[in-house]
Amino acid sequence: MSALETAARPLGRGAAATAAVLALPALTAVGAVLRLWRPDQQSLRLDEAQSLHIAALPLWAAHGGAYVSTPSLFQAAAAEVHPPGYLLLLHFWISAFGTSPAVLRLPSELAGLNCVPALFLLASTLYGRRVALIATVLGALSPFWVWYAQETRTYSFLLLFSILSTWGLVDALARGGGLGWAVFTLATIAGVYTDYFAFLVLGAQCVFVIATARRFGAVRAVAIVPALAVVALAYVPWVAMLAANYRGAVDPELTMPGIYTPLNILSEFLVGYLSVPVTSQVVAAWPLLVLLGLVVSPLGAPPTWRGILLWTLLLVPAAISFGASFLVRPLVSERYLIIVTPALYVLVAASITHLSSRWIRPALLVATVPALLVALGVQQTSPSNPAAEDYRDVAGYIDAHGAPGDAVLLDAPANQFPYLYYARTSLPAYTLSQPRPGPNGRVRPMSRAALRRQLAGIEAGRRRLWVVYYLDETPNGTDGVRRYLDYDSRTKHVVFGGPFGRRQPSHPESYRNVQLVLYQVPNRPASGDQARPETVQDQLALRGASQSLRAPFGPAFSGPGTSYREEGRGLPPPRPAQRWYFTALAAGPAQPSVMLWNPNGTAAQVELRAHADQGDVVRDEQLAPHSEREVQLAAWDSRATGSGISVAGSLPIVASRTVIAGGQRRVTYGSTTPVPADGPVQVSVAGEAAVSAAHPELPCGDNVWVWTGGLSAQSGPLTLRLFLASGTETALTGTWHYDVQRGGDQPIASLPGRALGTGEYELEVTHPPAGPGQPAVARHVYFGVTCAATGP
Amino acid sequence: MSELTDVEPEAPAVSVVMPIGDGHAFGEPPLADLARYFRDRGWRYELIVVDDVRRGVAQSTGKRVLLLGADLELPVEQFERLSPLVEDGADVAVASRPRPRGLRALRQAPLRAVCRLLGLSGPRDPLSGARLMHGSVARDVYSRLGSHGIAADVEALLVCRLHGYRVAEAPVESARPAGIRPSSLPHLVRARWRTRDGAEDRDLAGPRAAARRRRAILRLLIIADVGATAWWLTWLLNLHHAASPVLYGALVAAQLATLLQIAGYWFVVWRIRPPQRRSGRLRWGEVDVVVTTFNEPLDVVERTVEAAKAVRHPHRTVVLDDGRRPEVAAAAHRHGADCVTRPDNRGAKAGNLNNWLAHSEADFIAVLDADQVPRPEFLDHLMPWFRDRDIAFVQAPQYYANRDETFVAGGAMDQQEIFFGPLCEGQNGRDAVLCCGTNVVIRRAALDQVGGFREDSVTEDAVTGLEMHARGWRSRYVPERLAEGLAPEDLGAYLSQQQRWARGNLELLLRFRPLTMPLPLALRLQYAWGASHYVLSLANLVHLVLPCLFLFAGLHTVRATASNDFVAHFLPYILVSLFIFARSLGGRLRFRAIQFSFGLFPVYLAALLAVLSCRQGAFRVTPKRRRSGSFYRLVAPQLLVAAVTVAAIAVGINHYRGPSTVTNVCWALVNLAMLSAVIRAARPNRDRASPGA
Repeated sequence: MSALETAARPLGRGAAATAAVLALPALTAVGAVLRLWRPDQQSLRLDEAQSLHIAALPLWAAHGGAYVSTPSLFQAAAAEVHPPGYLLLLHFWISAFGTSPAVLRLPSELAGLNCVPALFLLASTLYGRRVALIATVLGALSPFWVWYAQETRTYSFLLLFSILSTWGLVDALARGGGLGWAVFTLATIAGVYTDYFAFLVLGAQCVFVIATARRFGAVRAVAIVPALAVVALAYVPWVAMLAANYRGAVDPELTMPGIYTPLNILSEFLVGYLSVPVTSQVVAAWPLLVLLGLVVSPLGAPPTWRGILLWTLLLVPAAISFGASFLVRPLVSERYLIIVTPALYVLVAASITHLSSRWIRPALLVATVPALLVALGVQQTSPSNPAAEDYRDVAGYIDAHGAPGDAVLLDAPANQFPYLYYARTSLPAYTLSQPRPGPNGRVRPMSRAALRRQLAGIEAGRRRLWVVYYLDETPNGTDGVRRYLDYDSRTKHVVFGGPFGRRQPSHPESYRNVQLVLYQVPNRPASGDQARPETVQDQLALRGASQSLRAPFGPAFSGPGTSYREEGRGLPPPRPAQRWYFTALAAGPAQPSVMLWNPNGTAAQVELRAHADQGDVVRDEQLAPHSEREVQLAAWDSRATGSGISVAGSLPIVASRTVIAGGQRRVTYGSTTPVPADGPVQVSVAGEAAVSAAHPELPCGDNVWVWTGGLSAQSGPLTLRLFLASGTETALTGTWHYDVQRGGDQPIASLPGRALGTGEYELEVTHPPAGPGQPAVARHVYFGVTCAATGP
Repeated sequence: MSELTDVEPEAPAVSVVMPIGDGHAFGEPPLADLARYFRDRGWRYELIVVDDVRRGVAQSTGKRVLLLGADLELPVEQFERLSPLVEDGADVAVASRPRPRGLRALRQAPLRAVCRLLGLSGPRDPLSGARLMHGSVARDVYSRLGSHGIAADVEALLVCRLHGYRVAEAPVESARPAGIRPSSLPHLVRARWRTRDGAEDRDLAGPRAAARRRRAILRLLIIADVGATAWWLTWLLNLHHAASPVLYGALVAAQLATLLQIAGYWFVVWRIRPPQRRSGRLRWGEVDVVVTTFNEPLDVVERTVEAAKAVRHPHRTVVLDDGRRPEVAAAAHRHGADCVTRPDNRGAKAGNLNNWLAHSEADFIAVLDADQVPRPEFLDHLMPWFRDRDIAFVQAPQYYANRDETFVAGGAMDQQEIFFGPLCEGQNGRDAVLCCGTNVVIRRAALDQVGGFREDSVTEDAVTGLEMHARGWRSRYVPERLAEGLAPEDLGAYLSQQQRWARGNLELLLRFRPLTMPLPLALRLQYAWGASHYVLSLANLVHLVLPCLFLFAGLHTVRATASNDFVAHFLPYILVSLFIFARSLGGRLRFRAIQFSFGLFPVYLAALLAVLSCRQGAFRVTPKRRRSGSFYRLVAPQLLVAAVTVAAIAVGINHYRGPSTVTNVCWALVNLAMLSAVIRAARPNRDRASPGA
């Protein structure tokens, strides 16, 4: 590494010196062109739409209580995987300039552009201008940097702050003085408020300081302690916010790094996102890596502090990412490890500079520029780019070819943001509830029964189903949805994507990350009181968000007659309660209203109570089945305006309160539930209740005991349904019996084992109405039975 | 505070150094008694009373230095008990007080155990400040001390041991028995710390620290590489990966051969010894510096003889001329050296040296090739190691002064950097350095024991060294540039040299069978590994052929479906191994050295065949003059392989077979890069030929 110690040498005289002076502006200009040219060439990707979604949230929650359905930007960010710095910037940015892709990406582009001179600054401080210019060429033309400069995400900022903080550290240690420490401290604060991976950079920097403390002298090295203290102090507010809001449920699910991952990532760092087949070719050239190892053998020299710095910045974050992946959870992604690329580029530049051969060095330099430009061209234009996500084409196609009666299914909830950004039609769009991780952190793929249950409501009465697959490769990915739909005797037409799954070399389309498939829905008529899951448009309306991310601050609309239930994803879930309170708003130009929804098949009695200073104002409402009603509080009673409202229902209903304040429409909502707290239904083959499992798998042939508790009736009907590919089939019906006097959990029925073959079952235990006007309440349990295969 | 009481123009017979204060006795030293004692015996003496013993010894001028406590706890008469020991050859004579007895001895037991733990075993009374030393030894030892006071007494003994000075002890009478006070323990620990691993040589502190760091990093890397290698072997030895049993078998064999070389390299560099230096004259023994020559140019020989004559250590310079050239004899005489010839050239260089041994009575023989110009300090740096009675020879590196003259000379020097770098440093760690036949000083007794130089090998030096080691002798390596020689400047000379070395080493491996010799296992492995390096040429051949077979005929060695795994298993192993190689050389590794080693596979193969067929080879002196003309015919095999490889690349690209083609084309390109240096070395160098060549 010391061999890389190339002294800062003047580049020559006359023309050469002039060229050297002009090189940096020229490279920056080239970098600007590459980053700013056609920023909307790529469709908005899922991550970008998520950034936009969070950035569009209000800065402060309208209500601080548990029932606030629209979290603030900070709350959402804390629940997400990014600190608020970039999102805050984006919030003000889109407020001022709108949300077109070009506008959305401009902050990242500017940050990415600034990375070019920042890299020059760092490299020239370390090794002088010669190395710095080569490193800057690599950075300015880097397809990887260009890609993330054109992404509405934090990575360009993370990169910029990483480079600046490293420069500050180098300056502080090598030259002393306050400027370096000031830059280090500020850039580190900005970095850790931009992305959590900035902590890995900080960790690497600390390792470097410890490793080289003797070289710089203890006084200079120890000066990092107050700088770190300032960083820690500045981060305290966010730590408090995290403690209150972080839930981890929405962390991205990455794949476990494989033995091939380091090479792939190295290839992406150097030549960007080529198509998968091209990347295979690049990686197949690995013998050249061995040759490189031989040629740059001077790397074996004793390390200088510069070498230690760069290798530390390169290896420590990578080692931590890979180590954490194996020990805790997958954390390796090339986009997170963008923080190591400055060190990589400077090391490559220094290695090239060090090559003693008279012809290899210029040949390498000459070959590098066109190679990077070609790679950039392939990256930006190839439909097989593994990082591209073309929601624009998908939404455009549905817009052009969708018809009334069609529905759109987004196979993962996060898909809705980029889809809705581009969608122009009013076709109802649905997402599937994602399986939640269990207590042990494991997420089991959704069962066919659960899929069937969810799809039944969506498909009933529809003719066609457009399914947008986001083909991630995580273990909890949505391959199951595709398999289910493909298997379910449907006619399908693959619009975008490969006909036989992903990564089929004979079908280049199969490398698309976003696929669109049109399914003909089997004959599933809607019943008279058909209940459907809420559409994503309705969910947004409930949350007070605009249905189009293109106009995130626009009015929210929703359709009548839709039942709503809390999904809880990304939001604090409302607590089940019979009475529902909306806290009062501050006095001001509030125009509150309350929206009431009755999702039940029977009418519900609702009591509205406004807690005014002069005394409660009460109003009763009768809600027809599957109906909604908006109560304008000002029209009801002027005292109700600005007061806290409590809602009580005879049936589970959903109530929301809408407030237009500060130019924004905010909706808080919750639901009432009259179902008494009771235990779930459980099934087991033993005479005792088994440990509750969400979806138990029972052996074949044994009688199945049904357990539950907390019932208030002696008996009632039960129905066992078997899930088939074409729907459900009633396997048996019967009656349950419950000893009300004894209470508690007890067996209420026994299902004959001989009647249960292999399959997925739904058992419905119906509780008779508790009183006149009350509905019957059903409890469900889902289980599978597996019979061993027998020979012919 | 120092006081010279007797200043004479001539050096006094004895300097009495009396440290006071700082842990030593306080009080008025009885100088009059001392003066009277020496005056009565008519000895020239000087008395130095000083607060820091190091300063006192440094200012002493006597032939002997007597260190005494200022309170004369030991009466000066005891000096007479020490003097005979020094006269008999000891460098240091320590006055040991009687051991404590009874309860006091019991109390001392744990303290002595601690001393032994600290490595302070040796003199019974290490804290005895009374000692008589040779003046030069005392000044050398005390100049190295980092501590003063009580710790200095102990540290001086440790330094003596490190530098091979012979310490004797004589029992003396004393009112106070020998004992270690608990309060002395910190001093002992400090002394041990200051002398750890030779740290007392402050001039070498930097290089030693760097070497220790390098060794530590290498050991970590080696441990990591063992894991990476195991990971690679799990793949390699899984025969399900074989596409063709024959080709895969060849690949496995080649890889295992390479792996053995890598593992041997780990084994050697694991024991890299940080540089150490000894100073001070060896006070006994005659030294012959012999310059062996056969047909080297006269000016080359004369330059060497002149430099050999100028070597500072007392010696006799002898030219052993197998060419029997009068002008060489004249040149030798002109420079005051002797010239010895013999009627025949039996046994080549070994016979020439043996011929001289028959005539010489010298205790040490320093061997220099005709082109190896020694520096004046050549013997000063090598001879002190012979204070250790079991050192057979001390080897210094070869450095090519003409490394920048031609591409070939540079490549030869690059290769020497590997051998005289980590390899010799590692061998030094086991006290078993390969004898290189030049720039080496050999103890006559060891040579006599093995019957002189072996004449039945073209690498007589290595075999002779091996036999000395087999008889229990040790050897050391001094990694300092003490002589500068000439590298072969043209490819013909270089190939001739390499052919001889390859042949000699393979003979050593197959004929002398170091694995079966009565050596410690580590040395058996070390010798066998070193000599088997040239077998790697077979592996190189396999690595050259396999990509061509695929590109020409689509013959897969590895199943295509398994190739992805291949990379993931192979790359960590090869990259870490390469980094170990580079790191062990501390940045001095040049790609050219690897290229030369790889590209010489036909030469090594020829040597292997010759040894296997038991053909006798003649000792050929490496030409010292550059010859003009092209040497392409000498690299005809390499040119053929390169041409076939280029054709294979063209054919492979034309018949593209997926990513496997990319991999094989890249391997072929790597092979071409590896061959390119030797082919380039064959370029005509008429324009750069030496005048008179």
